[in-house]
Amino acid sequence: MTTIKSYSNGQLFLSTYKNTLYKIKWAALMYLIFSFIIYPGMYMSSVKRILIYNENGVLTKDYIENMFCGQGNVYTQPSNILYMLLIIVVAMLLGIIVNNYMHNKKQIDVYHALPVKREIMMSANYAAVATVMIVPVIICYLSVVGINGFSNIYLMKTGCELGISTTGVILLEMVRMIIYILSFLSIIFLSCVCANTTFDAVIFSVSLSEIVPLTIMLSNLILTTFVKGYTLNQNFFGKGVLSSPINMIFVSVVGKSNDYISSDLFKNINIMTYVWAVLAIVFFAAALIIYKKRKSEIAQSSDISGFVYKLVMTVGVFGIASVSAIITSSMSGKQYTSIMTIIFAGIYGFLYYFILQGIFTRSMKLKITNHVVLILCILAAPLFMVLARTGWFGYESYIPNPEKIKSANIDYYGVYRNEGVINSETGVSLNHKPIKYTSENEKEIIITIHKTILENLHVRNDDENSKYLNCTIEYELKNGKTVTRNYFEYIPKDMYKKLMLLNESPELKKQKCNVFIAPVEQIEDVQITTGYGENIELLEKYKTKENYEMLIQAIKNDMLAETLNDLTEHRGAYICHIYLDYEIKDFIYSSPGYIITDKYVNTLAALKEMGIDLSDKKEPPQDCKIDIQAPGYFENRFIQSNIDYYSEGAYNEDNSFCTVTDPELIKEILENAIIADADFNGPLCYITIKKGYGTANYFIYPDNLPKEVKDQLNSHYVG
Amino acid sequence: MIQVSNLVKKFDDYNAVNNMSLYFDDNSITGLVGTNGSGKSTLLRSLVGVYKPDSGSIKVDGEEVFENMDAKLEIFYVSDDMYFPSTLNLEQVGKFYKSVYPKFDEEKFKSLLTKFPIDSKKRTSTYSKGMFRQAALIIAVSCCPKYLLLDEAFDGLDPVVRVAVRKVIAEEVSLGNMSVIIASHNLRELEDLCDTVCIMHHGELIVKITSQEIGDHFCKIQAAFNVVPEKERLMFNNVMTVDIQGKIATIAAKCKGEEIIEKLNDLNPVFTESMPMSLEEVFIYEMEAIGYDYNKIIF
Repeated sequence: MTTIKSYSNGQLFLSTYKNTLYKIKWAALMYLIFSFIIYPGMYMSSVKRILIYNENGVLTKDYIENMFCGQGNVYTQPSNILYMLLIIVVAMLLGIIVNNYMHNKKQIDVYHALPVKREIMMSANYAAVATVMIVPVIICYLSVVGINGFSNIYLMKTGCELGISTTGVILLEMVRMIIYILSFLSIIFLSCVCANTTFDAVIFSVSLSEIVPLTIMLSNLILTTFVKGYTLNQNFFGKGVLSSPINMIFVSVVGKSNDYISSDLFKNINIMTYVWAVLAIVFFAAALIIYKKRKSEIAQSSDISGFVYKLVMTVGVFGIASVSAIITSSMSGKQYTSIMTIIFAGIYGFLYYFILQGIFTRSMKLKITNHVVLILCILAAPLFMVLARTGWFGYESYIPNPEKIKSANIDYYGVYRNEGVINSETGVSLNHKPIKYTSENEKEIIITIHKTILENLHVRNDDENSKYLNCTIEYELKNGKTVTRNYFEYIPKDMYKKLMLLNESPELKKQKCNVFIAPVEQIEDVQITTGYGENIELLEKYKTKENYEMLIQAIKNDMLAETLNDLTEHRGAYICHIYLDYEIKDFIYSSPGYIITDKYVNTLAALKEMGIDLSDKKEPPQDCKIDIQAPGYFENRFIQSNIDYYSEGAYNEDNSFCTVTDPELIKEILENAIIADADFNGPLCYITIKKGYGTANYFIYPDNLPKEVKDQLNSHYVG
Repeated sequence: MIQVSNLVKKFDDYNAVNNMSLYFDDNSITGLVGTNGSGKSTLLRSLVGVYKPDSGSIKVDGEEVFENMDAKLEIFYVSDDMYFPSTLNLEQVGKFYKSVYPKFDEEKFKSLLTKFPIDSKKRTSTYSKGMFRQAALIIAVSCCPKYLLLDEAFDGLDPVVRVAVRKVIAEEVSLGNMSVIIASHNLRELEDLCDTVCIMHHGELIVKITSQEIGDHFCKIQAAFNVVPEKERLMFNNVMTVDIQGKIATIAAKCKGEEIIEKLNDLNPVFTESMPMSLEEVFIYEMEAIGYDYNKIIF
């Protein structure tokens, strides 16, 4: 039929590719310039500052490392955020511009009448935008490699370097960034194909990019609100957040390099990078297939019967309605929360359907264009909430069969809760993971506590017979799975006492106390403060590894022998605190201090061998004095100092303190004092002993104070 | 030849083209006329592969046109509101089309630029509506398509340019290079230019007729009577409308004039006269014949 054969697909691809490049040439140039200024430019500026300041080798490696961020440690702040924002905005702009013809009746008449297959047209457009996006990325990262290399040559002369940013790491970072950009472009192209207008294409691009993370976050919000004990699956959530190329772009550059290496984030980012490499192809293939079948006449139309319209409307309304309902009902009072939230979610779903329909159809008529979507919008959030409220398919009431439990873990640390656990690599962390109990007795305690929590879940029991418990219970099952629950509930006080039995468990002590965890060789010094506030220095000749080992072993033996009764009620006469100083990576970390009583016979003996005899430290010295601070609220009365503070803004010490100097009275008070950071029952007075520069702290129940002291404190109360 | 068979194109529930079958000959100029919303533009967009038919087929020289590059290469569509990238001038637009139409004739392009009063160095965004039309036609003809589809081709053109456009089209067709399909409301323009005219209404083809056939198959007879017969008596076979003004009856019929005069003679007219029917009249009478009452629109 034709006298002259048409161009080959390759020629047409190339022509369209060139035409598209020509169309976006100015945007491409601007993007290249801005990219270079924001990323390598600012990186170079920071490196230049380092080179100038470090001429004399004054900057440490850690300091230099801390100046940069991101997985590859090759971004400066705030250029990391600015550069990524630039990438996202430009990708969105160019993706929308080159596909704009699909959303314009005039243009579609021209482009779809051309003798170019749609898939070739779209592939060429994609290739053109990808070229414009990726070439500057390659230039920028290669520039950073160059800057990094040259700088390291100079820095190494002073014993420093720019950190872990090797060429390989930077290039890997570049490849990852290219994958994220291509993924985002695929989503934009898919959105453009599914949308009727440019505005809708922008909405779809953002929505489709963020639909998974947002849905996971919203579902999590609802489940946390309604399901008691609900615990987020960190691994699932971690991957969920990364289910967006936009999030991937940002997550890779905002943290410090150590944050990635020491966490699951690094693993998740790597896994999700592979996933996005595949998804980039899948989404683009989907865009091509849909585009081939796409009707030209939907350009600028208000037809919202397409799948993506339905998806975006349903998920959008689900999200906005859920959040609106939770916010609205939270203002209505706690007792109405669940029911009110569900009702509000339905009402908001109905209203938001019409708002979104109005936005997409550009008409505020109340005519329902899609009944199924309307029903989904009204019912999705309430139904989800009802399912959550009724226990989320048995999730709320589930306790694993004890026979299947390998270990029962709980983040209850009892009297040891203030001890920061020393990690010989990273330092000290108070955010200790739950204590892992494997013995049957402790497992049974945790299961009993868990059952008690479940029995009291929907009962209002925040009265004086209850105790608030904020804990995470975790079961490691023999099949390798883990069941985790978080609770913020009140439980009966007698049950709480059962929980306190865990204080006796060697497993708690071994997992929480540094004497069992931290290596002895990292002990730098031992500090001793007596019960009367006197600091005692260890003589230099006793500061040997053998002595420290002996002391630590003695403390361990005494701690393991301690019962709950010893810890909370009859701890024995307080002798001193022992503070252990650990040296980790040039920093000194002190343990919170071990309380040594006269029951710590092994420890006292070890100290004696190290030249410290504390046998005469049981009696208060003559010049000793103690301050007793009354609790702010006691027996329905407020202390005057608190009232002064709130009414006048000034704290009057005289209205809360009572000073005792009589040695006999001091002895009587200290005999009744509690010396551990135990789980106390009721308001307490706080006792401070001062002698010299040392201090020692105790607690005492007001009822256990001598009458004259009690009378003196009582005078401070009003009401 | 372009062969349209049982073409259906729907927009939601509305049938823009309803089971239409027709063909367009090679080396001819065909006019598409019809009421607003009759489906002319939809038909043109379907012919060029912008719209995918809901059912039926469109074959260009025996090949389906939708997403068929060989078939589309032979068709160029100039829409009623042509688009050119606003940042380009006409020469750059020409380069763009050259990159996708291998038959693009640069010599013809340059020659056409001299025939029309248009500045090819100016950005197309600065063009007036008429200049846009001229630019579109220059590009279209330069692409050397076998079939040129023009939607409202003469809209916005001044009389001098109209003549030039008609001349260019007629020249291309007479050289056997091109067939042209023109959708227009300007019946006077089409009457002089087209070999064939298709009248469309509500997505259907009412009539397809050559200019020769207009004379042969359509007639208008005026007859004067001393006593005008009742209208029903004048409604002979093939008569589309009868209009009686005083003692004169005007009859529009779908047959040769002699046939009606012969029947009129039985009613003793004072005189009868057969006149050729213009395309505009054919269109109006055809529309009235299917119940499209212009009086209701005009008055």
